[in-house]
Amino acid sequence: MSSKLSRREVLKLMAAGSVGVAGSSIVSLPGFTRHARADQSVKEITFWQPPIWRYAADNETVVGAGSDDWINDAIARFEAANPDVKVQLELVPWDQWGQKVATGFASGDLPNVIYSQLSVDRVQAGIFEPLDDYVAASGIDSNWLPGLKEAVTVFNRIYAIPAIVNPFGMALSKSALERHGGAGILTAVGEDRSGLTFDMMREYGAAFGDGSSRYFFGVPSDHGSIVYWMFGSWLRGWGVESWSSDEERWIVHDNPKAVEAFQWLVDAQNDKIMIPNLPKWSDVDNFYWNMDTAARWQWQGIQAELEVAQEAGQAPDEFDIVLVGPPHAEDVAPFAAGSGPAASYSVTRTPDPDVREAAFRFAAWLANDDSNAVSLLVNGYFPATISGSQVIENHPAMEDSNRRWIVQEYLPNFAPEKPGGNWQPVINARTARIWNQINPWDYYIQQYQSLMLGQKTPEEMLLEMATRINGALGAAI
Amino acid sequence: MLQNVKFTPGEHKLTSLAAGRFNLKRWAAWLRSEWRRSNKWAYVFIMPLLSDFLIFTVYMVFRMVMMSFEELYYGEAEWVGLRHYDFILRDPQFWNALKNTLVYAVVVVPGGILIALVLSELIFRRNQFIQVFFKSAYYLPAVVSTAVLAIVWTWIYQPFNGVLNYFVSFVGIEPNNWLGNPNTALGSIIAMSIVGGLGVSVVFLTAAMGSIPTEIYDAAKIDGAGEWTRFWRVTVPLLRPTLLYLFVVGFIGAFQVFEQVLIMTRGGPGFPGATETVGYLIYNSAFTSLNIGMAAAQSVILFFVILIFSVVQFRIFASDVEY
Repeated sequence: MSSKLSRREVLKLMAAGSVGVAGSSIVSLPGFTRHARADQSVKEITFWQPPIWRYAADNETVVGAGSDDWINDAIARFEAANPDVKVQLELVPWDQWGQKVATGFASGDLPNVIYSQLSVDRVQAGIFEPLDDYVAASGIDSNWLPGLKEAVTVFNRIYAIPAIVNPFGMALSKSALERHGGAGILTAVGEDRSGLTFDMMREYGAAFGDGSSRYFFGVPSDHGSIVYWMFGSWLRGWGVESWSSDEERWIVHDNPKAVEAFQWLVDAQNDKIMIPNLPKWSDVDNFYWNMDTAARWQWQGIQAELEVAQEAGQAPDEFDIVLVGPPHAEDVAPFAAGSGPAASYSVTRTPDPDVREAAFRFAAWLANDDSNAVSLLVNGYFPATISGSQVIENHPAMEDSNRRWIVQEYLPNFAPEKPGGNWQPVINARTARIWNQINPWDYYIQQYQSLMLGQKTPEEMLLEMATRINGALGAAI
Repeated sequence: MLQNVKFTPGEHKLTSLAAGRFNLKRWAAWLRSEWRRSNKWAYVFIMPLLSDFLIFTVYMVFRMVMMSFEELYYGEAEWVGLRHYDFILRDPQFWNALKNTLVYAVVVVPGGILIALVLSELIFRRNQFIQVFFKSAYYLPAVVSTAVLAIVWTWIYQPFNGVLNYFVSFVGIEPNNWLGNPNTALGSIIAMSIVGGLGVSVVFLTAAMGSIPTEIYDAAKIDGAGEWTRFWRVTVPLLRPTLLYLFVVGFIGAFQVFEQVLIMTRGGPGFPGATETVGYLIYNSAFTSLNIGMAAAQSVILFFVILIFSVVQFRIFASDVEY
């Protein structure tokens, strides 16, 4: 072989290389191989899901967080019943979910069915398919729990299938209260558990704490829950709305009750009723499992977390929790926090009507089929359907008094929060987009930390937030 | 072995071409002659890596710069000119993040290298076995992911029952919320980064020390130089190329600090965040706020800050570096 290549040879090699690269690119295009191989009558749909199941397909064996056992089995069951649809699952771990979804939405490279991403600005951007026709034809909406249809309706059209209900409230540690004092709060909240007030938290909190290592109430200051708990349901309990009715303006600072709401927290910290020193989520866990804290916001899934903590030896074997409604002022009626769908499935835009129909069929089946209801219950959630609620009624897990209270009392009898909660804009696409751009998940947390560090008074914090949020919206401060 | 040979690039045709006025015909002629005389196989062999570089570095940087002038929204791009830059340069949160980043970089890099230099000098004088032991010990954190290190250090700094508070209580210091106190949070992350990042510098410096000819030390001894003088007048000057490398690479990495902040403090405590860095801000703009254009603009600004810092370092350190 000559040590030198002629120009013609180089050009030939480059051309061959280009053909190779182009060929492999085309072959690797989504759908190329499967379209080449698969039966044309079988519609393939893509599906993104984070792992929400701790239990295996039998709903009895614990396989641990992150398992794909249940969802693979569910897809197999769906495909067996729907041989014309093939589901390509991408189970994305939670620590990658945010980035995966963010880049997917930014680039427009999205699956046909996606878990829990409905928002008004995305609907306006034309990302999702309206599902009214399919929903009307199938009639599944008549099986949805009250309020859920409204929660997935944007601009008068349905854009998601509600799948999971996961309300939250105040988790009182009965064990800790009985051991250290303040157990009277368990009866003071009333039989229906609706009567928890801020005054009550102070009164019984003082009886529980010791001022040095035991504090009644714990709020994780490093976690996104600050946004929907402390700037959402906590304010709702004080009768404070976050947004004007058209969501053109953030209005928390207009209401003097908001100052009271945050001053309550500062005082509670100073009076040693709340865990001081900006505790993280893990710190609150430790306090709670060690019975050094008696109250925290939580979902009913705390029962599953308790089991994990007990297995790990972090919590005592005897540990009773009583979930109650969120705290509220005397003049504010009790309400159910987080009563909307905690998860739903949406179908993204596609030009192929067959794929659209197949995607809807899968989303509706996964979200609403009764065969999937028990899995939700054992993994710490509730089904979004009436029939699903009936299916789980006699399951052994429902012997837990907290679960029974949620299904029989909390969801049906407490006033629901407005769809989306009292913290985020849900009807105004422009506001939703701008609000997301100020990154509330860090901004609210940092402002809350400033407050609890004493860097700002509640008035200063709220005014600063109003200036930033309303300034970005171009609204009057 | 250090080569005491100064690199003097010879005059190249390209240099002479560039020196004159731009002439398209002369450039074309030069390209043709280069093409004729060169070995074409070389181009074939470098093609894979060159393609990788062109696609995944050059194109990506170009695309990022273009994105900084765009508003990207759910797959649609709108040209917004300098709007992102205008916002960033008037945003107190960005300036706070830049200040934190500068403080972090300026303390972590020189501080880390200084400590590594002292440790290397101490290690280098030991026998081979001890050298290997210490080098491995210091290098160990470098093979552990920053995320793991950050989680471990979060527990060390834990305010309620953390190890650090336990030990400082022996010397009468009150327990502190190291990561929750705005006065100590950034310092705590800096301390973690210095301790966890010593290994690479120690390995580089001890290797460089090994390449210094012993005759120079012998000569210095004969001239009456003591330990300190030999270290300061012989070792340190001859380590300058290694130090330059460690400084430049260290600063580039330090300016991009992100994982520790994400895991340990999420930019807090307080607002503006006591530990918020530009890298963290970029991450949030891109992946939390979905503001890709803004993230690109922040990245471009960070790129220029790093570039300026690197140029300054080359000017300071490289003026009489011998290769």
